[in-house]
Amino acid sequence: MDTQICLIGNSRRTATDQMISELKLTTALRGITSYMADVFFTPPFKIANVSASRNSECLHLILMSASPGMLDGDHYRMYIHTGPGTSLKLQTQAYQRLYTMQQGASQHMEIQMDNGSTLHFIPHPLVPQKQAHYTAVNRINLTENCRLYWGEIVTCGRKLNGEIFHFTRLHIRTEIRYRQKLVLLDNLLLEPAIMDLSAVGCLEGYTHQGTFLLFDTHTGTDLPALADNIYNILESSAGITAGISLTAGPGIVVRLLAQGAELLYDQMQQIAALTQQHITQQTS
Amino acid sequence: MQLHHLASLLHLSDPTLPVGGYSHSAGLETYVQQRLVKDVASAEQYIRQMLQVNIRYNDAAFASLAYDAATADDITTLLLLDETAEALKAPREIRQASQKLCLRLIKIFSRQQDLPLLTAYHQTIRNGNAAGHYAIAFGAYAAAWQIPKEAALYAFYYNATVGIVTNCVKLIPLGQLDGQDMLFRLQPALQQLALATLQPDPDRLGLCSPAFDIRCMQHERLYSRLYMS
Repeated sequence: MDTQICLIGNSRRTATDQMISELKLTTALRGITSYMADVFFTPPFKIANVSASRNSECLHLILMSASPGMLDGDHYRMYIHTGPGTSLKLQTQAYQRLYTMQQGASQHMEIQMDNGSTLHFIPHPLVPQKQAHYTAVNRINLTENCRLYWGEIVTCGRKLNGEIFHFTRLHIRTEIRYRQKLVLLDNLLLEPAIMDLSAVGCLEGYTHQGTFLLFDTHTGTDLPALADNIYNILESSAGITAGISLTAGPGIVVRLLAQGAELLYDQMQQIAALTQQHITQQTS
Repeated sequence: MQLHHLASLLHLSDPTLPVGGYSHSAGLETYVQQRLVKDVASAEQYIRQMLQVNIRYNDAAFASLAYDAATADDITTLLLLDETAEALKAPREIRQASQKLCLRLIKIFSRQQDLPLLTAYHQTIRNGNAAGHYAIAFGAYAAAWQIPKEAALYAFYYNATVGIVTNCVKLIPLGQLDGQDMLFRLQPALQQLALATLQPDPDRLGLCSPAFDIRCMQHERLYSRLYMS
């Protein structure tokens, strides 16, 4: 398996051993239906449209990859533009594996959300394997009447193979702006060789970490009430240590710690789904 | 260091300064209630971690950068730091604590002297265009009074440490001498931290400590609370 991966990797390398992959996606509205007005991608990306029907309000896409994961020198650049009034649910296909690296891999994601648009993006967990070195930057711009469901889960590696924090470096920076002002900045850096990740304040013995964000710039949304609802979900879930709070901007942040990826992923999807229901109830 | 520097620095970093620091535990109360911090050893571990993985990259780094911005009389950078600090403090109580401490600090010293940069910062906070954060005001005052930067940073860490130690003594509880012993043992660490914070690495500004954040957030919903954060 590993040999094959290397072959695929080498075959698409440039002379400098860098591989830049791009994805650009713009949504637009036709009647009440959101559709892909513009889409462009280079390998290994692929997009599958799995919307319930041609007329469903929300565009539901699966971001697929022909690569089993990110290899050394892989750089992903993603631009997502949700047009006015559109609704996009972007899903990933599988866990994002980060393989052994020397120079490192990176992902840069720019998201522009126009007035009245909604984005749901809770990708599968990141699995940084031995000697993985990864940097990600997410920049999200919100305007009026936007709703963002955002999730991020970081694992310790292939835990069942005994690979617990054997990666080199993992740095994820997420910036959310509303009316051009920075309203949330999350700067997560894990460097197992020089940090005691199990220590108090860090991961405290847990191996998996997750962050869920809900940002809602509609004037009518009762964020404290939504936070109470999410808190009730968290309270009844076993095996997760979590905290929830209201952010500086119009948002809710949930931080979670657990011993497994599946548990966090399911929990996050559940939080997003129930929150969506509560918002519908609040606004109807 | 000249005597007037020492006078200003002692006043600025006095742990008994009435800014309300004593009413905040920054999540420690959760740790104590959950019995995660329960004796001298776990308290000292907590304090060292808080200083090394949290304060170093967050409040102390902001104090250091605010010091530089104030030295250069650069209000734009100072306000950008304020916006960044506000966006980084995800737990609500931690954000509000920092804002309250900032306003009270400015209230104490703005009566004495008109320092144009601090006046501008205060005005922007009052207009609602800045949040106001304690570490930023601290750094700006230290620069305005030309306190040597390393000394100012040492005092910043010292002030934070005294606050945590006092809270540990009260909450766990520990003996008064246990607290003083810890403070004494922490001196070399504080010195190293002050040096390490002279030029904060922009990449590491605001590094998140997931569990510290979680305990701060859990504090909002503790059944009984003595502290505001």
